[in-house]
Amino acid sequence: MIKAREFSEFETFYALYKPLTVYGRAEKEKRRFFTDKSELENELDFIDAIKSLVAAKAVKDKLRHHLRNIPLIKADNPIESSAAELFLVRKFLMNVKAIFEILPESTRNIFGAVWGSSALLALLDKGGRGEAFFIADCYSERLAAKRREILAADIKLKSLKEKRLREISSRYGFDFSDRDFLIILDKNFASFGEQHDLYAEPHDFGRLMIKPVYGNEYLSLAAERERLRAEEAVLEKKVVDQLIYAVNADRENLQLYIEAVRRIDTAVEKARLAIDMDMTRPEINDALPEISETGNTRGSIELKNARFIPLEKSLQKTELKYMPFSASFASRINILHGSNMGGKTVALKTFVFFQLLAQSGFYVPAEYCRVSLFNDICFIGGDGSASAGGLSSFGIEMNDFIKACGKLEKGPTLFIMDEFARTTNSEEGTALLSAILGWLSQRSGAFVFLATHLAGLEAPENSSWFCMKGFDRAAFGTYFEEHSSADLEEKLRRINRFMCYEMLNVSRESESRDAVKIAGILGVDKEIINLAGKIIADRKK
Amino acid sequence: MGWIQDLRGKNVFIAGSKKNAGKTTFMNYAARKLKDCRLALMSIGIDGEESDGIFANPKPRIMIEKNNLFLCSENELAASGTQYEILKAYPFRTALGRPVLARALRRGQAEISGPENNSQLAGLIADAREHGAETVFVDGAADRITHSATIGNAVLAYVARIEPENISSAISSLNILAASSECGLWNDGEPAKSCSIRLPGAVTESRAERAVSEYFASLRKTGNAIPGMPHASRPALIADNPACIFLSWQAWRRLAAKCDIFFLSKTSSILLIINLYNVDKADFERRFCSAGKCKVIYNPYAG
Repeated sequence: MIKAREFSEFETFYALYKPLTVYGRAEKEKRRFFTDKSELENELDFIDAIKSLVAAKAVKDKLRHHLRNIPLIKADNPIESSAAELFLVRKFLMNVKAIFEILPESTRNIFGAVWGSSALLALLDKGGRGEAFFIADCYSERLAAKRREILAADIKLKSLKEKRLREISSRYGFDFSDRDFLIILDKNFASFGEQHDLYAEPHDFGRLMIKPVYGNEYLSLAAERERLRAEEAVLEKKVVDQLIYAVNADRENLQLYIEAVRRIDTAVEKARLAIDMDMTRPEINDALPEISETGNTRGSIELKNARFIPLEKSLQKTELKYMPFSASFASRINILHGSNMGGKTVALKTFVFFQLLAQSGFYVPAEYCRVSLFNDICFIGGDGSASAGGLSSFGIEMNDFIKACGKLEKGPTLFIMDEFARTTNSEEGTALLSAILGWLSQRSGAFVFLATHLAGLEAPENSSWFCMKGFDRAAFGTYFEEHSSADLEEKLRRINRFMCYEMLNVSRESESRDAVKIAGILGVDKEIINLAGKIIADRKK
Repeated sequence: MGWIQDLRGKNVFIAGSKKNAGKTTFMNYAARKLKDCRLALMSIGIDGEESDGIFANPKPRIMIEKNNLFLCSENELAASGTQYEILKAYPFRTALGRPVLARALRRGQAEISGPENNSQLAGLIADAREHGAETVFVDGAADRITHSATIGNAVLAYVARIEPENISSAISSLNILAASSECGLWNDGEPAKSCSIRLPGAVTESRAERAVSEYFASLRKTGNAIPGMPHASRPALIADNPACIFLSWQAWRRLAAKCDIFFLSKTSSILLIINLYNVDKADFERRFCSAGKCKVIYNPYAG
C-alpha cells in the first residue's frame, strides 16, 4: 500500500486534509482504508450530511471556530483531579454544545451527537468567565469565608506596610513604595545612628543593601496569612475533587462526544475539500468487474472526467494544459499500450489515486466515479531507483509481485503494474508477463491494470485492451519544421500540445510508434532520427 | 527612569551573564515600576523557586499583582500564594508538568515557568497578548539570548553581575554583545553574494578562522580578490544570531578586522543592566570598549 500511495502521489492530496481537532488529526494519522462497503457508505454519508451546511460560509466558519477550540481531554480513564482539567473539560463541553446546536436534529442523529451534559456544564459554569475557569466562592461557603479572612488580612498587611514606609520615608528619606530594597553607601547608613526599622546587609565593599523592617505585628499577620492561604488551598482541593467527581460521573457522555466530534470534524474537513475541489460522491460496486460467458459485464469501474489533483495543480503553475481522464474497466485484466510520454503512467496514477481517495472515505474529483473495493493495492514497477537490498530493479519487481500474490488469499487485490519486466530482454519479458496475466485471470480476487511497451503479449480471454491516443502527427508536422530549436521546457510544451492524453478502448494490442518522433522533438540528432525511421521501414518490408 | 517606561508594550527577555546574575531581581524591580500596566510574567526554564537548583542560593520569589498574567505549571498553581483563574492549559508538558496561563485574582507569590523552545514561546506570548497583557516579561535561564532574537517587538535586558573575580570574562561578553548591536541584519532570502561567508550554528574561533581562510584561499585561486583590498571588498560573515557567537573579545576583534559580521536575526533593542560588586564604575568603563547601540544602566537599585 505504501508504494501505491507514493506512486499515486496520494500524500500530496492528503496533506490538504486538515482536521481541526486533536481527535480528527489522530483519525487522519490512522490512514483508514475502507474495505467494507457499508462502513465506507457510512463514512460518505457523514460527508453528505454536512456538505450542504458547510457550503454556507457563516455556518462553516462557526463550526470550524468551535472545532478549533476543542481541547484534548482523555475520557477513557478517570480524569485526574486538577483545576486545569476542569478548565479543559468545561472548554470542551462549551464547544461541543455549540457545535451540536449548529447542527439540525437530523444531522445530529447521523453523527450520534446527543447532548446530555447540561447539569455538568451548569455546575462548571459557576466558575466560568468566558473561557476562563476559576474555583469560585459559590462552590463552598467555607472557602468563601476563608477568602474573606485572607482579604481582610491583605488589607491590614497593606495598611501596616504603607504606614511603616511612610515613617521610613519621613525619617530617612528612603522611598520603598515601588521596591523591596535599596543599595546605599555604608557611610550614609552609619549617619542614621541606632535604628530599628531598617535591615541592612553588606552588598559590597562600601555599600549596603537595606530593606524595611515591618515590625512584629506585620510579621505575625503575614504568618497568619500564610496559614489562611494553606487552609484555602485545602478547601480549593476539596472543591476540585468534588467537581472532578461530577465530571467522571459523566465520563460515558464525554466519550460519546469525543466520538461525535471526531466524526463531525473529519466530515466537515472532507466536505470542505469536496466543495473546494468540486468533488463528487463515488459509487461503490458490490464486487469486482466481471464479463460473463455471455459477454455481459457486471460491476465495471468507471471514471468520467477524473482529475488527478497532484498533476492538475502542478500544471496550473505552467502553461501546460491538463486533460481529465475517462475510462471504463469492465474486465479484471486491463492492458494499456501507448506512446512514450503519452500519459500511460499518469493514467495508472489517476486510477490508483481515485481508488485510494474512495477507499479512504473521500469524495473524488470527477464528474462520475464508480469503484470496487479492494483489500489491498499493490504497485509493482520501477521507481527509477537502482536497487534495494542488493536486488536489481527486476528483482524488486519480482519480489513485489510475489508479495502481492500472497495478498490474494486475504481478499480482492489491485495489481498496478507499470512497465513490468521492462529491464529484461523483450522475449522473456513478454513470455513472463503473458504467463502472469494468464495466472492472475484465473484468480477471481485479482484486478490488474498494466501499462506496457512489450509487443506480442498473449493476454487471456476477457482481457480489456487500451491505448493512449498519442501524438497528433499531422498537426505537429508543419509546426515542428518552423520551430525546430527550443529549450527543454518549450519542447515539453510542444509535446503536451500535440499529445492526446486520451485512453481508448481497443480490440487488441495496437501499434504505438511515437518514440522516434518524440526523440527528435527532444533534440536527438536528425541524422539518427532519419536512420531509425529507415530501419523501421526496412523491417516492415 | 525613562528606560523602564520604554519597556511598556514590549516583550522583555531577561538574560544574565551568569547564574544568579540578578535576572529575577531585575524582573521584580521592573514589574513594580510598571505596576499600572497589565503584565504577563513567564520564564524559560524554572523561576520563582526559593533557591536556585544549581547553587542553592536564595532566589527572590515572583510577586504577581492582581490582574497580571503568569505562566505556571499545573502542579505549582495550587501551591501558589495567589488566587487565580485559568485562561489556557497547554497540551505539551515540561519537566514541571503542563504549563497553564493564569490571571491573578489576588496579589500573591507564584513560581513561574515556561516552555522549552522558541515556537512554543511565541505561541505563549501571543496568548498572553490575546488575554490583555500589555508588556510581557520572560525571565530566562543564564545566557539565553537566542529567544529575544527570534521574537518580534523584543527588548533584551542583559543583566551583568560584575565582580573582581569575573570582570574580564564579563566585560568580554558585554563587549561582544555591544559590538553585535552594531552589526547589520542579513536578509535570509537574499541570494548569497560571492563575497559572503555563511556560518550556521556556533561561531567558534576555529570555525570562523577556517571559514575565513578558505574564503581567501579560494579568492586567491580565482584571482578575483586578495586580502587587504579596500573595505568595499571585505567579505560578509553571516551568523545566525548573536547567541551563536562563542568568541573571546580578542577573537571577535580579529574576525571583525577581516570581515563585516552580519546576523540573520537579532534583537533591535538591548539594555545592559550593570550591577557592580566591589568594582569601581570608572575602572569598569575604562575596560568596557563601547556600548554600541545598547543602552547601559548602572546599579539600578541604588538609593
